[in-house]
Amino acid sequence: MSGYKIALVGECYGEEDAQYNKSFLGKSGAQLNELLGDAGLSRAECYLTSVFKERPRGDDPENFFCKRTEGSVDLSRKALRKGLYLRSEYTWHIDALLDELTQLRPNLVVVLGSVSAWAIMGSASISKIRGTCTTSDLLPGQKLLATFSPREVLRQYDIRYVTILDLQKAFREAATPELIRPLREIWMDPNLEDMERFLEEHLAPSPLIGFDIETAFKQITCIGFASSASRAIVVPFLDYRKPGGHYWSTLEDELKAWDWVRRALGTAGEKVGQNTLYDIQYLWRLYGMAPRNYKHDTMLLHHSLLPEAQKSLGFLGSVYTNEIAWKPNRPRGKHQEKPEDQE
Amino acid sequence: MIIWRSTDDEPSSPALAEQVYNGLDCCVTVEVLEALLPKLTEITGATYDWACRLQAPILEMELRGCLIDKQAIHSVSALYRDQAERIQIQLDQILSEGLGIDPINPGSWQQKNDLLYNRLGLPHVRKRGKITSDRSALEKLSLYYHAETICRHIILLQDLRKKLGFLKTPIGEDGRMRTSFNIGGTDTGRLSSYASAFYDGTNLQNIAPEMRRIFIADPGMKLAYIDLEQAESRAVGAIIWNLFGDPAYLDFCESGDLHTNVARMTFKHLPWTDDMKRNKEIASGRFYRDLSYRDACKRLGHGSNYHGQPPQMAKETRIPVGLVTEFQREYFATFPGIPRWHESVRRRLLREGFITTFMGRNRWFFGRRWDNQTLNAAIAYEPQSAIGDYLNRGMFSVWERGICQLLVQIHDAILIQYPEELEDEIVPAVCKLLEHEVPLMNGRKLVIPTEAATGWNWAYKSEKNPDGIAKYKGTDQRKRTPPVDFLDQLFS
Repeated sequence: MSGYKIALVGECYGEEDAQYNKSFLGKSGAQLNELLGDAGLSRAECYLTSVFKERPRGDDPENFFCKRTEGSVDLSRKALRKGLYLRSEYTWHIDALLDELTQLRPNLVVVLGSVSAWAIMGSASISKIRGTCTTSDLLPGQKLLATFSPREVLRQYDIRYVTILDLQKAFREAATPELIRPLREIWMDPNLEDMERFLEEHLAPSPLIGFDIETAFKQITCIGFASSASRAIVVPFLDYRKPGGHYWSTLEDELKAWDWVRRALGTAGEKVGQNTLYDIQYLWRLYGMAPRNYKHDTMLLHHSLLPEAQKSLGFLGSVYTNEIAWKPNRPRGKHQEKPEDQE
Repeated sequence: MIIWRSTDDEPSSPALAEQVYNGLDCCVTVEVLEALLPKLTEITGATYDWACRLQAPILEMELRGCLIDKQAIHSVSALYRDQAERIQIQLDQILSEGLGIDPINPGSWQQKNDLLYNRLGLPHVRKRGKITSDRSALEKLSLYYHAETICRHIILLQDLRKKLGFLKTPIGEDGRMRTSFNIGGTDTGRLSSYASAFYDGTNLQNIAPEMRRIFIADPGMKLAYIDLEQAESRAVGAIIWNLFGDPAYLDFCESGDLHTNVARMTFKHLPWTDDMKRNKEIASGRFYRDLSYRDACKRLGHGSNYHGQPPQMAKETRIPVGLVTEFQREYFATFPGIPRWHESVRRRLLREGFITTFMGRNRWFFGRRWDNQTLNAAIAYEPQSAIGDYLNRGMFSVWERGICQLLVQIHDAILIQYPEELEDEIVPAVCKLLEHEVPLMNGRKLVIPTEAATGWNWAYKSEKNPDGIAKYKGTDQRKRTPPVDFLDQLFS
């Protein structure tokens, strides 16, 4: 055990880094110092390392990669992006890094940049995975948090504020080595009795109710209601597991379910949604329903605070909650195909 | 029923995973709200309050949509197709008979690149490092004498195809085109527009004037297109008044024809008189090529207000850089408040990193504060944002009064419809609601005047379009052209 609670992993060495065989010494290092300072961290508290402990040609870490036709590549690892694989001669860097971090065992590894994310988390989609704590099969049991690298910040300065927010979160998360996900309970596949119970016990007394619909084929596929940040119910209507794609076995039951939705929307508690006008259009145009006491929209709220920042729920969740990245887990493919009898 | 807990693994069934996804969306929304509400300040709280209130009129516009004249789509499409065919034939002739080259498909970038760069040997135009033949490249290349005709033909064909593409936009089963407006869609707070939640319709904020012919009033109703006059210029004047107490630019905006007055102050050598009508004639004289003094003041004045630099403005307006520099020297000497305001924005940006508009909207700038790009965005922010808020507040008052139906909002204008027999009551009332007062420093008030045009379709009135909108001067004696039966149209 090293005593470091937090380790920062950069992508590769720059000119000065290569000269002194240390990470984050040059321009990127100076930018990192500023970022850490703005986030309330000090460099001395952090263990600093890099995926590639050498300077790439043209100072571009993508030059550690090539197409299969351009040289010998390591096919045991995922491509950095389509068709771009790690050159075989650099594969030892990854093994060495994973060993280094395994021995170090900090509470949190902060993965800086898309190449580092590829090496440790197996995905280079940094803008999708940034900001949320997670683990990876490549480094079992280790809590990880990805954000942009100082090199990326220097290139695209407007992502700097997100990086600072992520580093502030990293500082909080580094207090413990465990990946602690907020406790939440979701009632799924309910029947009408379950729905009534949820309405009576949780929704009716709640002062604040979050709601959201999912849509496909210009229909509402399911609607969810949260009585608090820790409890929600989801009422499905379209379900490909069932004959004809109908979750409810009879029309009568489906009508009762919609009546329940109307009553849930009509409860006294304040309603909150994200980009709620979209949901309301569906509810109104298809079913003539509207939420009672609709008070808040988180997208508009964040836009009022920071108009230049992203407003998607995935982004807001990554910055303002400890929820893990749940957005990429949305199923795609067959689930969203139209059931046969609905053609 | 299944109760999934966040300590459990993700469900393997896609149907259950979708439910977990939806349930988490609901829970996270509540948690995010609880985290964000305490961050609201007096300023951002007021902005949020307005954003929430605007949802009602916007939802109403989104649900209502605008009636579409399908016969007009048919006839306009036929017209554009004919034009496209004719231009394509001309292009083919120029290429095959004039140059001995095979005809090309202007929709194929490979064929365009090959024609322009290999066959015609024009210098490469690049975009993000790649050779391109997009519209701006074609405009640049059309400056080469031997390529001008070919480039112009290709541009025309591309424009026509774009218009034909718009005419194919799916519309609702009830014959109405809808759009979605996003209150949080821009950094300035202006609304953005895109396809409706039901995947039909499109962005209705940048429909070319001639394409507006297809948007018509419902039976018994009439359209009014009401826009704010010289809105952004007046906002610039208001900012300068608030900052320095300098009334020059705002006075000019409020004194009548702004651009003629600016021309009078800027081009002092011209024989100006005390007669406004005569001055307008003088300002309409030729400044450069087909550009009048008045047009130059409008375009160069607008660019100069937003910190445009002579080389870039010369490139965009095609006015020689020397003339632009001379114009700016005179313009800024006449209105010294403008460069002072630019400098004040630069300082605020460096010192604080945010700008608050006189309508009370705050924006942080995340780009490099010392960068020209960020400075230009910060300068443009206050007037653009303030006008967006000014219009939205007026639009909200119109909606609140319930005297007409809102159809579309277009940055500094709205399109409404109302029972035609009530026109003389409703149009002046709506204009009055839009022309609301905003208090400025030292007791001065900003009121932006409006101009209304009324008719039964959204394009401007012409010989071929007698039902189009025409400037409203207190009354409109026209009657709506009765619809022509489809068969009569076919055989006429």
